[in-house]
Amino acid sequence: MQRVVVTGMGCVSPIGLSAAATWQAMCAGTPGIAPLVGLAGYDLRTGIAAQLKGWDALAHFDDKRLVLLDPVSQYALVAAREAVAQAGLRFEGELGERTAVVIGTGIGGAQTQDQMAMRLYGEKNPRVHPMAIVRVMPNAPASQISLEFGLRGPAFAVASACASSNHALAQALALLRAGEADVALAGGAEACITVGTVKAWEAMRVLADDTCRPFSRGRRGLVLGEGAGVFVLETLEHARARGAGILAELAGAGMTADAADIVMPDAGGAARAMRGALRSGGLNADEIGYINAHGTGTAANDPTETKAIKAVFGEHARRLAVSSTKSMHGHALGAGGALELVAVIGALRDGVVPPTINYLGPDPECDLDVLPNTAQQRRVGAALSNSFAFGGLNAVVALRRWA
Amino acid sequence: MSDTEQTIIDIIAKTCSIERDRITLDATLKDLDVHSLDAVQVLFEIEDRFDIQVPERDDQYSAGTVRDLVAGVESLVAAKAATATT
Repeated sequence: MQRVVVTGMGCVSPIGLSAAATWQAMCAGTPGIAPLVGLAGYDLRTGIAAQLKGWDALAHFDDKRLVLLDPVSQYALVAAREAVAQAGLRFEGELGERTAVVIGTGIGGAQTQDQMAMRLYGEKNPRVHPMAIVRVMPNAPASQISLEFGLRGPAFAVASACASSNHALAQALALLRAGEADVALAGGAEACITVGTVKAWEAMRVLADDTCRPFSRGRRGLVLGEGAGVFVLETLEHARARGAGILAELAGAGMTADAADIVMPDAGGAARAMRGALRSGGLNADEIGYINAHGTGTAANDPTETKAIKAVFGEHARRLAVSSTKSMHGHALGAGGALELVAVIGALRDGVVPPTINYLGPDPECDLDVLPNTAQQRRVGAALSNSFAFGGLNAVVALRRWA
Repeated sequence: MSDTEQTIIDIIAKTCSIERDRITLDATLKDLDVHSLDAVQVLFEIEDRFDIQVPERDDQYSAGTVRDLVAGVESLVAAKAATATT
């Protein structure tokens, strides 16, 4: 079986418009949650979100191209460009045919969908933009990346709500291991902060009104985020043959379904996914030094995830660093795991574990070492990144430090 | 039984598939085995029916008894009527 390594990463997030900037912001404990902008006049209860700061689409795309791109695809493309540039790959000739694209998204072109509904039902305007379909389709980010770089191998979208990114990384890993491709661009994208989506989350009453405080006492829910993360994955053989710089090894992935409840998390399903990732990566539980938690900051997720981590790691759970970077970049739904992979790769490479910010004090039900408020220096040999989705779908990826 | 009480009990019965006779004013939603997702739907139906906005976090609405819920809704309806007339 082929080993798979990461040779490039790119990201646009509420705390930085590149992977490099996002990682620096994570280490500094930078808050990305701020007053919600751009949706005035719709009587929203929600006053906060983790939105991109200083995003200028025209800095990246001309008008003609932008007509084809919902923000979800714009973010994915900009992240992909950074990742490809770092990997130093050119996809001419046969390599294009041997390169896969797998991009997760929870919703797809949410803004296009929202604007279309507004015109049709709100303004009673019967005309819909002719490019609405190509903007709204959930495979648009994957297709746009394929088009831009000439990637002609297997390309598709993966949808599993908040686990979409990790499921996408897992699919890319499987393709590379199986020899279906030599290189894959994989990750996730989401641009979900629209009137319709925010209203729908409000209606579930799981949004925090102050900020996101994962694992903390006084936590009041999740805060929506947005962005994209895209990674260049290669078989070790391919990376070595071209002398590529290796950021980390994507060692394994574990995927499970709870089959229990459409929204309430299940510790058993989460634990099985973590065990699956360890098994798939050939890792012992005590080799893991850091877990980037799903850590949404809801009443239900955080104690359940704590319980699941204890079930998998036993005594070692006490020695693990566990943090939720959602406290900084918010919950980017289908892009969540991709933004969080920046944290995991950064921790493995730099020996710095990013914190859980906005932490007020311990909750007895969430009693792991969640790195309150300040990053810590720790040598991490291997790490997990957890994503647990509504619908009871879980995906966990395991990474190993590349020395 | 007041109209508000009747309406709220009807909403709980329908939304949560609970026999109407089981829903007494002294029961809490927990006593009635109403899970959080169902409770959220009950609040949605109440908001829609009475055209009010139930506060995001107030345990009177989801953790108290049916009587507490009715009292809360009545005060919200009264507050709304007061604002409308001033």
